[in-house]
Amino acid sequence: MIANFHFIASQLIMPLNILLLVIGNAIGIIFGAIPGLSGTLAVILFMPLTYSMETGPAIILLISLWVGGCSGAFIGSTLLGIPGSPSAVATCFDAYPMTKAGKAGKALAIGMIASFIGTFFSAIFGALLSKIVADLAFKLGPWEYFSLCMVAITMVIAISKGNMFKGLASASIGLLFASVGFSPIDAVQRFTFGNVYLYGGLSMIVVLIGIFGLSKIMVEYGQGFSPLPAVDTKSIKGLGISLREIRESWKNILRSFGIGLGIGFLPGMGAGLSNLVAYSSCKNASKTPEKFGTGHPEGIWASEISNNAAVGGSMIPMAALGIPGDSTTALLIGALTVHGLEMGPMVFKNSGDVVYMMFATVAVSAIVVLALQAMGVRTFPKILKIPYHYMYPALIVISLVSAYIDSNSIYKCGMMLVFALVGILMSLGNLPVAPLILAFILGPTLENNMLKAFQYTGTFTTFFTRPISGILLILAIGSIFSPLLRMLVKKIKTSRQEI
Amino acid sequence: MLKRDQIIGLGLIVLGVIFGIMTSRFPVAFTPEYPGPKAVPGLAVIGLIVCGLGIFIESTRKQGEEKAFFGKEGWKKVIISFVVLILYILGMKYLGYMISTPILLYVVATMFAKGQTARVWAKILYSIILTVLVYLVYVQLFGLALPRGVIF
Repeated sequence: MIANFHFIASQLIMPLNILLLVIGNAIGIIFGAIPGLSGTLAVILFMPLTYSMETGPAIILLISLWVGGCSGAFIGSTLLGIPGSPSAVATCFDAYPMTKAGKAGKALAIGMIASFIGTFFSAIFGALLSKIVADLAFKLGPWEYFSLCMVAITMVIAISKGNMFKGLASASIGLLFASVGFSPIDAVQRFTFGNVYLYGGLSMIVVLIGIFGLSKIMVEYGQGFSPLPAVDTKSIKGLGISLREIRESWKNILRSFGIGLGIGFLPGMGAGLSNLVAYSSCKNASKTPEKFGTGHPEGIWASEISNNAAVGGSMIPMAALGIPGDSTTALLIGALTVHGLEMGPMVFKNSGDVVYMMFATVAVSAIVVLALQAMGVRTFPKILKIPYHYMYPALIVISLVSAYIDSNSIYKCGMMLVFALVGILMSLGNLPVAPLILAFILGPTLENNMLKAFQYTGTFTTFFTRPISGILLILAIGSIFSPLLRMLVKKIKTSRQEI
Repeated sequence: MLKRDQIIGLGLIVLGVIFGIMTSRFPVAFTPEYPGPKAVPGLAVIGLIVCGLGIFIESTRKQGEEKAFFGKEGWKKVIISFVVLILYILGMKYLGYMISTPILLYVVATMFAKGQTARVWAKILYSIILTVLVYLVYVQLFGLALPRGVIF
């Protein structure tokens, strides 16, 4: 890691890269703050721009958008009571009551500092742990990689909103999309309908922006844009937080950090889950649980530390195994592939400098985001006032332009409209998008490894007889049936109580 | 009348059957020793049919009224926005990015601003500035190409 210091420093002090980092962080904060948008959407929209860049600046821009988006999500939660993204749902519980009590400045300050601590230290832990995980990963074969992919997809289904069938259906659609084009190993044409544009498979940009971005705008337009509540700017008077208050929360900070890092590390899980787990565990450990939900600072610390700690945590499996920790890291894996970087244990040998630069970018971004937020605390209400009729047309143009530049073809713009329709139908059926993203991106890795494993042993039993693969598959099957198991346990408990 | 989830469930089943038939026609055979190119799409097809059935049954067993997703007016808005975007794509193909984009931006901003105060000059200015800004960033700064159109 130390050996790569020269490369990392040379990249991070380049004026263009500094500019990209600051712009990426600022745009990320805006996308994170506005309900309906998210850091993930920012990463998807700006990804095509990075295709023409060199690897260093491309990574810096994408990661700074992501970090800014993760951190900015608390702004909507604090000032509007509406989470900027699912990662800040638990932040609403106490931050918004604080705002209503005239302490918005303090709630924002806790959000900023907690975001910084979570992101910065998770990047350091991530950098230290990922090499160790990568060294262990050399012992894994295609059986384990297949099982890891399965775990990532099924875990996301298990935590998806709505019922299990809908999560699984979404993942199945993702796998079908991933199957389009020539199959791995056998090179059989699948679902191409003789169309040359489909021979190489579906474009990630076209599918994801269509389903995740364009369709969302259309759904909101169809349902009617709901005006955001007004923000009481008078309640933002200074930050009003002391070092003593931070010190008093150290136990909560450590616990929430551990939860965020751990959940982020699990394939397929991320900030969307960690903030809720950390919040409830903080409430359970508290001597005054009745204060939670009424504007208790501990609740904000727990949620914001954990959701930002998931950033570094989710980068560990991404870098070391090539398996995404959440949907944004899944996108990053796709974007890095365009730059010739195949994530996984070998990446430390071939491009270790780039991997450590990713972690360094997260850490530097954490500092820049903190500075931007501290300087711009009074502009937060203005961000939330950007009218939808100016913001959304701009996003539509960027979406379609992104589709065009993906392969300099108008055809891709038309295809994006088709996927926007798919997205609308998914919203209509309340099918979650995250399983589709993960299955679509992990599909080729999953299939490749599965076929390789069969070529080696010629039987499916090896997937279960190899210990790590077996455990992972049992975990995957268990997470699919977890709602059924929970229901069964509940029924047994109730029947026992009745007896 | 069928409920929304029942329609979604049936839709998934139909989709599963169609893709299932297509998958069965792939030339390499599925064997226990080597599942080949049919395995992953086959898994997805099974997932679609089973989940479609599950969603359909759950929805049938569920009582209570469904909340409207869009309403008639909402669907109209969505269809219009699709038409506008199709026209924009055709506009990019024939007129190019620089002519079609400000028109799209103005039209969409007007559609989206319905019921709110948005001055005409502000929308015109917004449409022109954004078109130029996107052009400068994508073409001048990053060296990417935007549609030039075939007429001009």
